[in-house]
Amino acid sequence: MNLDSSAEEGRYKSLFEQATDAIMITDFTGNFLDVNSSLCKLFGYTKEQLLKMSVHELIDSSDLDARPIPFDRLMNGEQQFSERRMITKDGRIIHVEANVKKLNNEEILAIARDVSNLYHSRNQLRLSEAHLNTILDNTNIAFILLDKNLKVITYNKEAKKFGQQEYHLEENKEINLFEVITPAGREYWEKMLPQAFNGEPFEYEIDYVQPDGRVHWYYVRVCRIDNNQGEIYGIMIAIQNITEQKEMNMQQEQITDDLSHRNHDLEQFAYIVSHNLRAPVANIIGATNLLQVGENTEEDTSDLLLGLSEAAAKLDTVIQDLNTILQLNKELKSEFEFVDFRVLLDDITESIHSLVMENNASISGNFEMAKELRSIKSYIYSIFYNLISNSIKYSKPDLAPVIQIQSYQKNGQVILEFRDNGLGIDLNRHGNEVFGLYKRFHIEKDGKGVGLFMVKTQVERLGGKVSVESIPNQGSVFRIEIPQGN
Amino acid sequence: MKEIKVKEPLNPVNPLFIVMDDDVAYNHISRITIRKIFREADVQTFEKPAAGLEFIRNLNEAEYTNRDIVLLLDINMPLLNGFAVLDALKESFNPIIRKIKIYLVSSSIDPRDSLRSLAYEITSGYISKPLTLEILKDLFQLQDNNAQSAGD
Repeated sequence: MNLDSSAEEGRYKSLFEQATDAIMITDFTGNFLDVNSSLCKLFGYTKEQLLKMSVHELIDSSDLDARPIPFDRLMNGEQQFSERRMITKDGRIIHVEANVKKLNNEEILAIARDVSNLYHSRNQLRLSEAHLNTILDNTNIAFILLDKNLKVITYNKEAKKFGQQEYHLEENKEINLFEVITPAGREYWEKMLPQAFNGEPFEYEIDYVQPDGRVHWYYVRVCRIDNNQGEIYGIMIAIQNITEQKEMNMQQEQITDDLSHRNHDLEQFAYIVSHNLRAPVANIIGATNLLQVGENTEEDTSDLLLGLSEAAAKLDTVIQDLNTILQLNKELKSEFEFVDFRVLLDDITESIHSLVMENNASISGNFEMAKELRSIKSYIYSIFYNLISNSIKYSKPDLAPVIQIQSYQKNGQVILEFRDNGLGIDLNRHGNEVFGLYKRFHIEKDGKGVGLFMVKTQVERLGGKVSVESIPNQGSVFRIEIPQGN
Repeated sequence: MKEIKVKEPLNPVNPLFIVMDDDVAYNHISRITIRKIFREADVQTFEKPAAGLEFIRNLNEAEYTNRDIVLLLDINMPLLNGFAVLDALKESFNPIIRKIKIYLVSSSIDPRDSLRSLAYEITSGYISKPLTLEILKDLFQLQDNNAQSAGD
């Protein structure tokens, strides 16, 4: 028996000595009773030094304060497994994982392992994770990670918002992408996924119409995610809200469009005016040339002189018209005020009293739905005046002109409709010239072709639009939309 | 300013001039200008293009075998502008129309007008108002300043 126990003791001694883990035996106050060489190596002390020390001297004080060694529990036979901050002889901090249990009522056995590297790695990882989470939760881009089968693995705060907003998704539900998107979207994804899995990301824009009619725009980028071994892990979707940029773009396009139109109008205007100035000038040149060459008959001479004076008068008129039109392009200095349509109409009807009588015209207005407009009075007056006098002038020869004016509101704008039973205009032939300067469609009647041009210019100056519907020989309806002035 | 496509001069003997322009003063001036060179030329002026078209359609080819016919056509007439008249002429069946030398006339400086006119094959050119003696002489390649009498 003695032989066996000494052989066993020998084995244990070898184990104790050769173990790579640090092993120590202390009493119930912490004094070292025995240490192995690994422990000595770990802490940088010799065995002799350690045997004079207590384990408390190796543990970082803050750690010890927070968690004193539970000798009483150890005495009860409990096994302790804990991680401790400990200090080596040269003052280095190491992290040690220790497995502690009492051997007997006098001795405690502790087996310890240096986990400093692991501790640091774990810390680094936690820090990285923290950083990543901070980034992911503070970005305004929604990130969604899907596995190879398009099942959602994880997503950030923004993605949760996106899912709730546009797809009414509840949190914590298992979601597969194809269950959520539209069939058209699915078709597109099925087409593009092979490309993504091949390592080539794809991107697209998508819009969602909200219940209130507004549109949200998003820019979506889809790419493959690989794991550390370079195998396909899944798919990452990055979604960015680009509504604001889209809206600005569309506004920009609208402005460019408007500018382009106005430019075109301006060019037209320039050509028309120059033509109307050149025509009389050409006549003046022609007539004076012939008068200078002389040898004209008396009849011819008087014709030429008449032509000269008419041309000069025409020139003067065009220049005056130009002046009037250019006034419109100046800053709107006039004050905005409330213009009552009924009062305005009565004013105008009275001022063209004789014209009304001569033509047996009847003018009526229904302003129940929109009584007034906050705008520039002189413009509104001019618009009414031009349209009414036009309708009387271009009435059918055998039919008394009947003019009906109706007002109503729509979308914050006031709409005015002027309806007459006159000659009408062939819009198929003259459609885009109706409001053009000096364009005339019924030369039997006197007129310069300026009235409708003025109406259009003034309406547009107020930020509105004018349009016309007409059937030759049946009459016309002029429709004016003007926003309420501020 | 003018752009003339056809280079051969017109026959100064007894030509017929048709002037279509809604501007009465211009028609007077054209007539007087033409008569200064061709004292007894036949000058027909029309303020209403419809009447002018009618006149042309009714021309008797036999009467004009040795005479040139010149049409001075204003581009900017209300209702029926010069290009519309050209279209109407193209569709007419009177063979004499092919004989007419058509010049489009305008007081406009819009270059698009002169370009557009050159695109019509039946036109011989484009003249910018006013119609001057120089332009007329040029059309008929008259070297001297003496006016030609019709029938000389």
